[in-house]
Parts: sequence; C-alpha cells; structure tokens
Amino acid sequence: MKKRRLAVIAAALGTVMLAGCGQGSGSGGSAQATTQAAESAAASSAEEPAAKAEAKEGAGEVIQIDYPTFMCGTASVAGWFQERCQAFNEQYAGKYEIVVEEIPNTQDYVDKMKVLYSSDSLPDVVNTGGYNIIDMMQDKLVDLTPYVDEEWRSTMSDIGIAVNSRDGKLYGIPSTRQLVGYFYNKDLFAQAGIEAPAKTWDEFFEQCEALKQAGIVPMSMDTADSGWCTSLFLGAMTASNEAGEEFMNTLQPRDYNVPEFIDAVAKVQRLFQEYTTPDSIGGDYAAAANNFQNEITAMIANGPWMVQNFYDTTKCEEGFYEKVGTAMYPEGTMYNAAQTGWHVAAKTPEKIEAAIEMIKFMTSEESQKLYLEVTGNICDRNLTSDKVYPLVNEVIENAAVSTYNINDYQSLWYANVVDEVSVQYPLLAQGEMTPEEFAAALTAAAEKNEK
Amino acid sequence: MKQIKQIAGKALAGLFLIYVVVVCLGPLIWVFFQAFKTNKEILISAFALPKAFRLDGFRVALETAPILLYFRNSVVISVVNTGITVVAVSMAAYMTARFQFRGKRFFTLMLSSSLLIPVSSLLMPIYLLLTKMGMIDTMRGLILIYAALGLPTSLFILQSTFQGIPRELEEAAYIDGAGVFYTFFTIILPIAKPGVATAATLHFITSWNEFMFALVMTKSASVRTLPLALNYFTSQFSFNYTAMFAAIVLSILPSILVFICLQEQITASMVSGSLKG
Amino acid sequence: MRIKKHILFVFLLPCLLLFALIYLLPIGVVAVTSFTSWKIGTDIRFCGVDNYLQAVKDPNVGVALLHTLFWVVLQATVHVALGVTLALILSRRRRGWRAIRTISMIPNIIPASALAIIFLRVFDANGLINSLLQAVTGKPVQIQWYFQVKTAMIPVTLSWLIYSGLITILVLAAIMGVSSELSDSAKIDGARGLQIDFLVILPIIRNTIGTAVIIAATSMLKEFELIFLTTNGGPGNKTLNMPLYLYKTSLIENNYGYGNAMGVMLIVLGVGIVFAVNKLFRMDESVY
Repeated sequence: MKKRRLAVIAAALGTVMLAGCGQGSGSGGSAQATTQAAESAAASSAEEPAAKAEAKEGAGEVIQIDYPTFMCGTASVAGWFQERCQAFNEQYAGKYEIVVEEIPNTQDYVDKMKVLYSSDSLPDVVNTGGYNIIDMMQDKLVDLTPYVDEEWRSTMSDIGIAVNSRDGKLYGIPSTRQLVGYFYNKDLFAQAGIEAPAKTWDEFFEQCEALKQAGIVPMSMDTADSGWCTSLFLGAMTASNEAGEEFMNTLQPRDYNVPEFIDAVAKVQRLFQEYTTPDSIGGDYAAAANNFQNEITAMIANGPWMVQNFYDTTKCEEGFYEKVGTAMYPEGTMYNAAQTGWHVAAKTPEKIEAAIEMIKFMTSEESQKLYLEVTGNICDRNLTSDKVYPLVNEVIENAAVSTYNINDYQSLWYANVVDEVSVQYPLLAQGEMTPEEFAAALTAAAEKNEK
Repeated sequence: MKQIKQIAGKALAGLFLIYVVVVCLGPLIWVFFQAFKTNKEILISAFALPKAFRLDGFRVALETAPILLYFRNSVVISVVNTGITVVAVSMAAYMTARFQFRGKRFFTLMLSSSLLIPVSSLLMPIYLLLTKMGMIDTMRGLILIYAALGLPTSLFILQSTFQGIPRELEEAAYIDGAGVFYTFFTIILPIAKPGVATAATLHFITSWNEFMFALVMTKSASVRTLPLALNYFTSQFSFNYTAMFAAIVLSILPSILVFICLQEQITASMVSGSLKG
Repeated sequence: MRIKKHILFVFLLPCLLLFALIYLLPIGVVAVTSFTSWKIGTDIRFCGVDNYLQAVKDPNVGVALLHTLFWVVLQATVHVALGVTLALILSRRRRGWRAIRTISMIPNIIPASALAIIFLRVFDANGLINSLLQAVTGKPVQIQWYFQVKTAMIPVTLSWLIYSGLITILVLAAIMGVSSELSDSAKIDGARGLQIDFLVILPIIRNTIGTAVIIAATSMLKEFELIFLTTNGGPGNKTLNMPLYLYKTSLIENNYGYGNAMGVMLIVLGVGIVFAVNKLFRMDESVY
C-alpha cells in the first residue's frame, strides 16, 4: 500500500515540478523518470568521448596529451593553432593525440591553471601566452634541460632561453617574442604638418600639440584591463635612459619610487588630460583600437598582431592599412623581449615524452614561420618571410635598430600591480592623485607579494 | 477630492510601470540590436539602430563557438539540477515550516550560511572533491554543484510558501489517517505550486547563467555550458562584438521562454481557483 | 506540531546530503585555512589570528566593508520597496500585468557581462545619460560617471538597485496566494485599495517580504561581476566591496589564507543579517 502511494506521490510531484510548458512534458507522466533518464543520458554522453578514447588506446596505445589552450575564438592565433593541432594529430596518428580544452580568455585560463596547480592536477602542456607562471608553479613544471639537445637549443634565442629559465633550469620552450612600438595614421599626421614620428619625448609632445591644434585627437588610450595601450607608453617613457631601461627589464619590481618612472607617470597624466578622447578613462582596449581604426585618433601603442585588423572591413574602412605607419618610441625605445612559452607539467615519462614531441612540433621552423605569416605575432626563431604583412615586417625592422629594448609590464610586474594600475589610472587622469602617489600605490601593491 | 486622489494614484502607478518597462526592456532591446550591427557601428554609435539587418553575427557566433552543443548541455544540466533542488528543498522546507524539532534553527542557519560563501573560496575544495568522486568533467558533477547552490534561496522561498498555507487542510488529512508523505505530496505540494514554480524559475536562471564552476570543473566540449561560449568573442587583444551579442541573444531567449512558461503555470493555478483560503 | 524522528530524517536527508557534499567541506577548508599563512607555491603554515589582525589594519578591508554594508542596507530597503511596489500594482491585474511581470525579470536573465557593457555605454562620457543632461541644460556635459571619485557609486549602485524583478515575482506570488476572500471581506468592512495593501496584505505576507529582504541583502555579500566588469573597484578603491577584494586577494594576489579570512568575515556578517531579519519579521512563526 505504502509503495503504491509513493508512486502516486512521485507522479504528482513530477507534474508540479516539471509541468513546465504545459503540453510538452506534461504528457510524459512521471517527471522524475524523465529527470533520471535525462541524467543518465547526460552521463553517458559525457562519458562517450572518454570511452572511445580508451578503446583507441587499447588498440594502438595512443598517448593523449592534455592541453588547455587560449588559442581559440577570436584570438589572433586561433586559426594557426587549429591547423597545427590537426597537422600534429595526423602526423602522429596512432601514437600521440592532443586533447584540446578551449579556454578563450587568458585571464580565465590563468585562473583555472591556479586551481589546477593548487590541487596538483595541472595538464600535460601549458601555454599562457606570456603570463609568467614559472615563479608561481616552478615545483610542478618539468625541467626541460635534459630533453633539449644542442641542435634544438641552437634554434632558440638567448633571451628566450633566459626568460624561461630559473637557476639554470629550463622550464619553458620559448615560442614568441614581444615586439611593440606604436602605430600612427599617416594621413592625420600630414594634416597636422608632421613629417615623421618623433625622435624625443619633447618632440612627441610638440606633435601631440600640433595634432590637437589641427583638430585631431592625438592618442588612443585606455584604463580598463590594466590599460594596455596607456601602459605601453608609460613603460616606453620610463625607458628613455639606461636606468629606466633597466627598470623596465626588472622582473617583479618591488619599488616604483624611481625617478624615471615617476617622470613617465607625469607624462602619461599630461596625455590623459590634454591629448586623448574622453572615453579613454574607463575605456578598454576595444574602444581604444576602434578610435584608431576609425581615424578618430592618430596614434595607438600596440603589437603587430593588430595588423590583421587593419584589413578587416567590419572594423575599419577599406584600405585603412595603407594609411598606417609604424614607429618606435622616442629615444629609440622598443618593446623587444622574449616571453614565457610552452611548459610541461606531465607526470609520467611517456606523457612527458609525448608533450616534448608536441612542443617540438609547435616550435618547428615550419610552425613558427606559419605563426609569423598567419597571425602577425613575432616568433622566437629569427625568421623572415615574404608572405608576412608588410607592416609586421616594418615592426621587425624597427626593433633591429632600437636603442633601448624593454619588456612589457604585463610579463614583468606582479599581477596585482597590473590590476592596481587600472584602478589608479582614472584618479591620475583626473588629477586626484600625483605621480608620486601613483608610484606609491603600486609599491604598496607590490609589497603585498612578500612570501 | 477622493476622485482627484484616485486619479493621481493611478497616474503615479502608470508612470511607475512605464519606468519599469523602459529600464528593464531597454537592455534587452539594446542587446538585440547590437547583434545586427558591425563592430564599428557598435563602438562608434552605441545607441543607433543597425544600418542593415545582417545575420553575419549569428553565423560567425555559431562558427566560432560550439554554441549548439553547449546549448544542449545547458538545457540538460539546468533542467535536471533544478528538479533535484526543488524536490530536495521542498521536502526540507516543509519540515522547517510546519514542525518543531531540535536543531531546527541550526539547520536553517546552516543552510542559509551557504548563501554567503564566496564562490572563489569554494573552487579549490570542490575541485578536489569532484576529482575524488570521479565527477570532474562530467555533467553529473555540475548538476550536483548547481543543485547545492540552489539550496538556500529555494529554502527561503519554499519555507515562506508553506508557512502561508493554512494548517486546517493538512490537519484534516492527518485526522483521516493519512501519512506525512501522502499529505505532503498530494495535498501540500499542489497548493504550494506557485512557490515551487517561483523557486524553480529562479534556480533555473541562476544555473543557466553560472560561469565560474562551469569553467573550472569541466574541460570537454561535450559537457560545457552556454555561458562559456560568450567568452569566445573577446580576448585581450581581439574582439568581435557583433558575434558576442548574437551569442548573448541566443543564450537569453531560452531563459525568457522558460520564465514565461513557468510564470503562466503559476498564473493558471491561481486563476483556476485551486487555492481556497 | 511534533513529528516522528525517522520521517523528519527522510525529509531532511536530500538537503543534508547536498549540503554536506558541496558546502561542509569547503566551509571547513575556508574556516581552518583562515588561520594559516597560505599563498600559492608556499606551504601552508598555522599563523593564529594573524590574517584577522591584518584585516583590521588593512584600509581596503575597512573601505570594502563600509561599501558592502551600505549596499546591503540600500538593497534591503530601497530595492525591496521598489519590488514590492511593483508587485502591489501588478496584483490589481490590470491589462498587461503578465507582460510587465515578465519584463521586470529580464535584467536578471541577461548575463551580467552584457548588463555591464550596457551600463558602461549608458554612463559613458558620450553616453545616454550625458546626452539627456545636455538636452536639458543646453550645455555640453561630459561626466565620466563610472570613473570620477564623486560619481562612481551612482552607476554602480543603480546597476542592481533598480532591477528588483526577482523581489516582484516572489511577492506577487505570495499576494496571489492570499485568498481573495480575505481582501473581499476587508472591502466590505470599508477598507480601500491602499489600506488593504498596507493593513491586510503586507502583514500577511511578511514572511515572504522577510525572505525577499534576506535574498536582496545577502546578494550584496556576493555581488562581484557588475563591479569587476565596470570599475574593477576603482577609481582607487571608491567602489571596492568585500567579494571583489576577496577575489583580488585570492585569485590575483594568490593569498588564499588572507582571502579565506575575509570569506569567514563575510559568512559571519551574512549569518548576522539572516538572524536579524528573521527576528524583525518574526519569520519563525506561521501566519495562520
């Protein structure tokens, strides 16, 4: 008797619960049954790929390489990775297979890696796209020194090896280089009577004034997400002498109370107050880029990966790329630095071997050449190709003759300092804080990283 | 005098309604229009109408991110976990609303405390737990987490619903010799339908939009949910707002449909007069 | 009423299981590690109440707590009042009430990331609000609402304060649950619309209003995305709240021990709120 009651109850409960859109599920009787069916269906479909993989593994001993990637979605490197991944899986069919997890946003990517690290479950291969995780996760990353023979090593740049090494141990295979100057609009420069990009910062501010007088907003700037375009100028202004150059090559500086830095902050404050659009305060990279691409502003600091956007007619007018010029910063400063590359966190010898093969493939001459050609990002190997966007080649040429070579703040500074920059910029811009106070705020943030 | 007051009252109420409609409907309409504009149009003239109704955004959105697959996963996960939450919580809420027992206050306070735990502190322990249970990267894992996330809010809603139901009804049943189970499932729950549907709606929407757990606890496309698809269109140095808004439109519409359907259920049950005070 | 132990147990079991699995362990971890020094890449080591002492001295914690409490109070009063007002108007069931009920819920359905973009645009220097002000005053207005010290709180607060659709549907469902006979008899007694609302209906549904207050107030102990995606707590720390500071501490500074101490503070604060509202609305007692 009791059992029957329960059944009735379950059915009644079901109709209340999931009666949802009337006719649709109401006719199905017990919704609890539906629920269970749905759950088991869900579970089985979730396990399906795993089961398939196991079957495969049994037959051909395919070693799977877990690799979460940010190279997907609208990222400039998405197409490149998709093609390379397929090529690898084909070439090594029956032996290795890359199992990709897509994490479209680099911030989310790093957040997830931290959780995985803290629960000792990092994937086999990690590549953050330049965000430094070596100092944080050193103990879980494989020292690659024994796996890299002389021949392979000779293909990597010295600075690439340096950035990926700690105490003589290699924790990452370098793959990209950061070459960043700024872009300017030749037409708008001509309208203001400017012939060539400035050689000194004084001249630079004169040019800004000339543009302003001609009714043109000189600069694209931003403050959101660490104010990328703004901070690039900040770093370049800091590095206008040797001491400043050294500061902009220091990993995780603790003290921002440096004359060159404070001087640069004052210059940025002036740019905010006189030479940029009102939407720059609080604005993000997209808004800054858009202002430049629609000829509202005359200059933007950004890397060569931006070049492919100059050809995108949903973002700028047809033929816009012909108006764009490239420049190094005044005093001959360029961002010219190596970035952290491919890390291995696999645990078994077989997996490590597989991971090494994958990275070898991804950093081979063929792959790196494609990388340069397709994405406009600069590869670690010293390569040239005539299929590269002309503007990208210009950036490479600029870097070859630059006086001061620095690294960018996102790779160097503590993550919380980078975050602090974006909340302090608005205060600086509105004159609510002095350059000294700005530097002090960053120092205070950096000090929080004492272990 | 009274008439003037009445008219003024009606006018005020009318104004208030207009304000609500503008403020609440505005964002939806705005999002909808962005999906048809080019990136340039979106960034330069945020509030202008699209120049032409292009469907490119939807095409690119569907090509760039596995939206349809994520959509299916979202439906399964949201529906199943909402079902679990509502059953589990309504049973507990009936107890706390109707009966006295030792530890009752402790029980409710304990459950309410889960309303207050910041997600970022939950991530790591839950990740370890799911790993131990072999539920990482499965729908079951997410369903379990989401079902638990719904506990506190649903408990509050259902508890006050049950408290609002007159006792006479069930007392009559108990006098007739009916058991607690029978009374609960056949008498109380049907009356509490509006509250149950409200709790279900709210919880459905919450789990439909959840992002952080979905990101951390899953890795295969075959179990990931729709909110993860929205990030495909904005990375640090590149963006496609048109496609992003198209994806947002695709993800909002089902929520609104579910909401309308469930709300109609509530209304229907009220209007049919199933509720006798 | 009393109930047999085993039946009670069966009814509470599903909830208890879910709670034990997903919350008990994390709460334990959060509570215990709040007394340790624990950063990413370092060993966990017990450090007594150091984290709490640090929090007392940390000016950001003070500011974040203040903002959090400010928003809790606003949300518990203004936000709930807006929602209840709308529910009372809709409960008259004039034409279109269902549509408006659905519309009022839309902002809760739209992902926070989209809402943040919209608000940034509306309150932009060239945004909708400034255009309106310009039209009214006849002078060019270029206020960066979100990023000026004096104005930043306004758009941030508005982005959740005015969207009380959730409260509305909760309260509306409760009002519709109150038998119409009850208000009919009140009408016979000579009470009029508003009087019935305030003297008859609201007291009866006070449990639901209490629930609404708890949900609204405690949501401010978790509100994170709409700040993170707009001001990120800035300018300076002018819009920083506890959940955002906790996020920054745990996931950007990787200082889990300190972050979890803030987590414990939030939980204590929340339990206090739940307790106070419970007392205030006498929610333990059944209505009938």
